[in-house]
This record gives sequence, C-alpha cells and structure tokens, in this order.
Amino acid sequence: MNNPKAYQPATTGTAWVLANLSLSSPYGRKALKELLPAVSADREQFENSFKELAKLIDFCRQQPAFVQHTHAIFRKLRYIAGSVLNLHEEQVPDEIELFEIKLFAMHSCEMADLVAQSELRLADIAFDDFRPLVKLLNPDEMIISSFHLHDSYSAELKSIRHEKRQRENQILAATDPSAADHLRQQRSELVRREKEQEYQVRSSLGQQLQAWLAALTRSMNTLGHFELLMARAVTAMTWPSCRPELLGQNEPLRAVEAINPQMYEILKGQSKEFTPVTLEVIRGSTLITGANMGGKSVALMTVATNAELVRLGFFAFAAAFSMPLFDYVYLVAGDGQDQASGLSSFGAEVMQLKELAALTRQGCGLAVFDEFARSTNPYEGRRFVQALGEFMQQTGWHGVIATHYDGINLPGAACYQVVGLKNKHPAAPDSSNLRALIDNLCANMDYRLRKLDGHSEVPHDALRIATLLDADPRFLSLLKKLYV
Amino acid sequence: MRLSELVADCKCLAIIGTEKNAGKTTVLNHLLAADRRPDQAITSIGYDGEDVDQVTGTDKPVIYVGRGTMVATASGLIGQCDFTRELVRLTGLYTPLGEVVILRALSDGYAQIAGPSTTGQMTRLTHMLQQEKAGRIIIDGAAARKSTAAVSTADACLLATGASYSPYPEKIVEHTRHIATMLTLPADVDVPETIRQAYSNAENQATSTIGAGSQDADCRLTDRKGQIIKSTSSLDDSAVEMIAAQIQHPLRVYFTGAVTARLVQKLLERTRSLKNLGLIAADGTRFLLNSAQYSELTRRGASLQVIKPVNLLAVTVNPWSPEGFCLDSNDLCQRLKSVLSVEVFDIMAGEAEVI
Repeated sequence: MNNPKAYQPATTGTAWVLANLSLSSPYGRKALKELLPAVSADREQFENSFKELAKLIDFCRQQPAFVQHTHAIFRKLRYIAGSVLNLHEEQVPDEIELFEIKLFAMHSCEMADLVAQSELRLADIAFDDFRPLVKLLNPDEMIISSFHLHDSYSAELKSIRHEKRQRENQILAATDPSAADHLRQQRSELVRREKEQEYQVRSSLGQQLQAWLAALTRSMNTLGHFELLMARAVTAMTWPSCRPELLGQNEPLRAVEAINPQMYEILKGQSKEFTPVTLEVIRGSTLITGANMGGKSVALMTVATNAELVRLGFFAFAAAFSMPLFDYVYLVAGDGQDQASGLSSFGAEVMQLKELAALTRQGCGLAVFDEFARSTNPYEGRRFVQALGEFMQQTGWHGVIATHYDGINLPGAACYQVVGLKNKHPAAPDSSNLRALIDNLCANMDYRLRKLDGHSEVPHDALRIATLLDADPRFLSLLKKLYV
Repeated sequence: MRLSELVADCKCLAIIGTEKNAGKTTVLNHLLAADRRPDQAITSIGYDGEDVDQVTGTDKPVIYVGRGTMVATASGLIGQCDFTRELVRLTGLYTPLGEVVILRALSDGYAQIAGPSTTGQMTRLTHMLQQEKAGRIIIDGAAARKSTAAVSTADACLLATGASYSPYPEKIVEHTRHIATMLTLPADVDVPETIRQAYSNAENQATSTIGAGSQDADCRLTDRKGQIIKSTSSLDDSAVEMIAAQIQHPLRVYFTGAVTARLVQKLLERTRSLKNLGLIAADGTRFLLNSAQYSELTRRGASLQVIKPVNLLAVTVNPWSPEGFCLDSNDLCQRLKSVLSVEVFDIMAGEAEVI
C-alpha cells in the first residue's frame, strides 16, 4: 500500500489540509496518494486547472446540493481494480466480480447523469457511457441494484432451474423418506448441471466484458480525479480563499491577508481569531524579525503552506495571492533534531541547507527558514543568518528567514517586523493559570507584520513577555538588575 | 405451544448452544422448515467448521433454506451454497473467509454460512438485512461463552442443550441451568452515563468478542454515587487488590470485557464478605465462571448484573450424543423443566420433519 513516490508535504499545514479532505471513494483517495506538486514548466496547463476549479467553485456556491449528491455517489463506490485485473488476465469472473462491475457501471451512470443534468461543464471530466454495460449485466427491463445470473442468459439454464424447482416442491411434499431421498439425489444432479451452465454464462459475460476494460480503467481515474477536484472546491469554500495568480520566476510572492487553515481552526476552537498575514517574499532574501511569541513562525508557515497548496492545485487561503509557480518549497525549521542519526537540531539545519542547495539546479524555489541557527550562540548565530541572507541572494531563491538575531545587514532584502506588544507597560496577569497567561499575552500582542525600510531591527521585548508569562519573581528581579 | 409459534414475533433471534453439537443447527433447520416465511434472513457468528465437525468428527448438519430467504455469508462460501441466488448486497464486513455478502435464495437449497464475529459488525449486518426488508433474522450462534455478538444483537434467544455435554442427565441439567442463569442475570437499572459510554465505545472498537489480549482499562470501580473511583485492566492482578481495598463501602465494578473465572477465584481467595459488591458485565455471555463460583459469590452477598439482559425464550434438547448414545429425552426434558423458568422443547421428537 505504501507508495514510495507518494508526496510528503513539507509543511504540517498542508499535511493537515490533505488529511482533512472529504474523500470517500477509493478512487479519490488513490488520486490524492498519486498527487504530485506542479513545477514551473506546468504553468500554462496549471492556469487552466485553476480556471476549471474556479468554475466548479462558482457552480457549487450556487448549487450547494450538488456537493451532497456527488458525495452520496462517491460513498457508494467500491474498488474494482482487482476484478478488472482478473478480467484482463482472462479469468472467468465470479458472481461477486460481476456484481461489483455492475454496481460500478450503475454508479458511474448516476454520476454522469447528475453532471449532465447540471449546468456544469468541465473540460477534464468526461464520463464513459456505461448504459450498454449495465444492460448486459441486468437483462431485465427494470434496473435493480442486485445481481444474478439471469435465466435469459441461457435457455438451458432456464430449463434446468425450472426442473430443479419442481424437484424442490416434490421434496417438500414428500412423506415417504426413501422417496424424498431419491428426489434429493435427482436435485443434486440438477444442481451440478446448473453450476456447469452458470460457469458457461459467466465465461461468456467475461468475454463480453473485455471490450469494456479500457473504459472501466479510465472511469476509475476520472472519478478519482473528479472527487479530488470536488474536495478542492469544498476546501476553498470552507475557508476564505482566492484563485492564485501565477507569475514569472523573477516576480515576488505576494500574500494578502493569508491564513493557515490548521491554525485558523485551532484558534477558532479557543474562540480566538487568526491574524491574517500580508507579506511579500522577493526573489533574494526576506527577513522577518519580531518579539518572542509574536507569531513569526506562524507567518512563515502560513506563506509556506499556501505556496505548497497552490503547487498541489488548491486555491490559496488569502484575499489575494500571487506567486511564481515554484519548482520546490523547502522548509528548514530547526526542530529536526534526530538523536537516532546523531544530529543535534543545529546539525540537522546544516544538513538541510546542504540538501536545499542541491535543489537550486532544479529551477526556482521557495526556501523558508524558521529561526535559522537558533540553537547556537548569538555571536556565531548572527553570522550564520547574515551568510544565509547573502547566500539566498546569490542562489536566486525566494528565501524568507524568521530570526531574532540583531544586526543583520542585507542591502536589497525585504524586511518585516511583527508589530509586537501593543503598549510598553502591559497589565500584569491576574491569574497564574497557563491558559489565562497565554490569553493575556495574546490580548496584548499585535501579530500583524509591518514593513521596515531596508533595515532589520529586533525589538527587545523578551523581558516584558517573560513578565507577562508570570516568570518566577526572584528570577525576574535578578533579570531586571541586568537591564539597568 | 410449538417452538415455531413461540418465536413467531421475534425480529432477531439468536440460537446459541451450551456446547458444540448441542443441536443449534437442527433447531435452525426446524424453524426454517416450520415457518417458510419469505421475509426470513439467516446468518451466523463466524464459521463453525466444515462438513465434518473438526472437533468431534461428526457429520455437521447443513442448513436447508426455503425460496425467498436471505442468507448473509462469506464470499468464500458462496460456491458451497446450492440454491439459485441473487446477490443483494456487498456488506463491506470482512471475515477470514471473505466479505460477507447478502444473498437471496431464488430456490430452496443448502447453505453454508459464515457471518461476522464481532458485536459491532453483527449490529451493522442486522441493520443492512432490515434495510433489505428482512422481517425476521435468525443468527446461528456458537457455544454460549462465544456468542456475545449474537445475544447482544438479537432481541430473543434460544439455548440448545443435550447429550453432547455429558452422558449423565444430572450433569447436563446442572450445566444448562447455570448457563441459563448467567444469560438471564437481571439488568442493572442505574448505570452511570460515563459507564454507558464506555460500553458503547468497547462495542464499537472490539475486534475480539471478549477483552482477552487487551491491556486497556476494561474494569471500572464506581462508588455509591456512580462516580468512577478507579479503572484498571481486569487481566492485571492488581484489579483484585483494588476491589478488595474498596469493599468496605458499596462498590460496583463494571467490566466492558469478560469476567473471568481466574479473577473471580482470586477475589474469593482475597476477600470474605462481598455484600457490598456488584459485578456488572455487558451481558450474560461475559460471565465466564463456573456454577460453584457463582454459588459462592452469591452466598457471600455479591450481586451479578448485566447492562443488557438476554430475553431467553426457551431451551431445546438434543438427546443424541455425537458419540452415538441417546438419552431418555422425556426424562431429560422433565428434569430441565423442573429447574428452568422457560419452556423446554425436545427437537428430535419433532412436530415437523427436519430436513
């Protein structure tokens, strides 16, 4: 089951969105498993996909029942790839395989009818006409959702069954045990002949199904593709979203009021609001500085998640979003400590950077660094970040670094700062309960980013934030002496 | 009253046995033949073996169904059913012999059935059969202690007993009486909501019919206010210590899995008076204790109750042993009647010929 080529999301935000897609058919889940991000060369084709998705979203907004109706059909679909494979190998299908194929054909027709009767026209989605196949497996006038090897497939089968039924009636009526035994023997001979005839019928149906194999295989893919598209549309309607604009490689990534759906939901659960992120990531280096607990990582992850989702064919969760179609989105988060491999978090960052540098040959990419070199000493850490900023300008990445190191000097870099604490003397917490402390801090924090003009500066808010978090008073008094 | 009349109004009937070869399948065939209603459905708990019983080497009676009957069985056994059939529904419930498929018999014929073995799956299957308009579902169960999935789904139950257990009628009577007592333990009328939730969770996730093998907390101690004061795994030896430590006050112990003979033995060794103690399980099939342990528990004042009582309608008797001897059926029935509060039927004496 483990597809080695399956795409591993770089951000937890993307992994969360993918895990929460409403996919109920095995084909939709398979399409998700096989989903790969687009690369810059796909731009034109990808523009069309977004056009289709936009059309679908508009349609679903107008016809909300359509989503439920398709969902009800997707839920009924079973995985018939095994039965189709057996037919390919020219095995005689058993009754269950025939039943599965009949159901698949019926549900496929149902979906085709539903789409045909709607106003929706999508270029990529075309359903095969399985009505003749349904007719083959359901020779009666009335289409029923069960299956049996019908008498009309073979005159001989019909006559054997008729005779068998007569014996059964005679067995029921028999009073003499030896006569009943005799009748049972006759019946078992008829059962043998019935099975033989049924085999002939199944074998003939198997041959007639050969002509349908290509269409069945195609339809499994079409249905999977359609369900994944529907899931993208539903996702786009669940959170504020927009159709992303795809730009050339030298253009910046522009996010206006972007959100991260995962964080958005977590905060909603705590009756809080996500502060949307507005940010421009230029080709070269972009720096985000700001107070501890000011939401630098959240801002970074929001941009990275959206860029990644756009590459996967999703609408961006933002009021407006434009970016070059990146060939890769890479995240160095500094929490990659792996004791099993003997790497500290710092060691892991260095290895990740090496891995990322090797990707530069593959075109343009978004490189996201959360507190690079955070775990080394500030003296050297600052130099690491400075070098990274210069390196990004050389590699041509759209690079973005969140850092709390002072004195980074990067001419040409875009610099942002979290607005931070709203007033310089915030109210002391009135409770030492952790939840209350964090709530109090949130209330005092302005998470918005503001653009600085060409220089990076780091606010010195750590002491105030420690106070807001109700740090031990003895510790605080020692700390305050050092600030004088 | 005839047996077929007694069960005529059941929507879902389970037939379980005191032991193997107690005549369950004979009872099932009898009911199918006595009342050829077209809206009947049958299934079983798991699969009980092949044509020849693997355990005792006796001929396993096959099931003969009438036209119209729905049969829920594993896909691997469809080839061994010889009635002309319609495939009605693929259930998505899997057994070691394949997916359970609902068939409709378009002719009379022999059926091999293997159904789901867990309570959760059996409940889903009976819902599907009802959706397909089954007016009466009969579940061919197993020996009582393995029939949890059947009795917890069914609204009524028949207990089959007979000479397969012992050549001595008094032993059969004693054994049957004990099982009937366990099955008909009274309901706990005052189950706290948290406990109800725990039972419903256990039912939905259970992959085995009893809690064996699971290290999860399946044993919850509650005080007189219904508050859970401790929870533990009943397999853990500390469970008995925990119960013993709390027994000065009224104490109710809820088991979501089985109440094992081992636990009860340790409890009897560890404590004296049990007048404060209530032991509660999901239903009577979960009390895996012998009749001596039960007597001792009740003598010392413990009360045994269940969440869902079993509606035991009757006991059926098979005087034939797989070893070839036959007991005096009339005598056995009379002895059983004298100790049981439900009807007793001799299946072999036959009001209808069993095919």
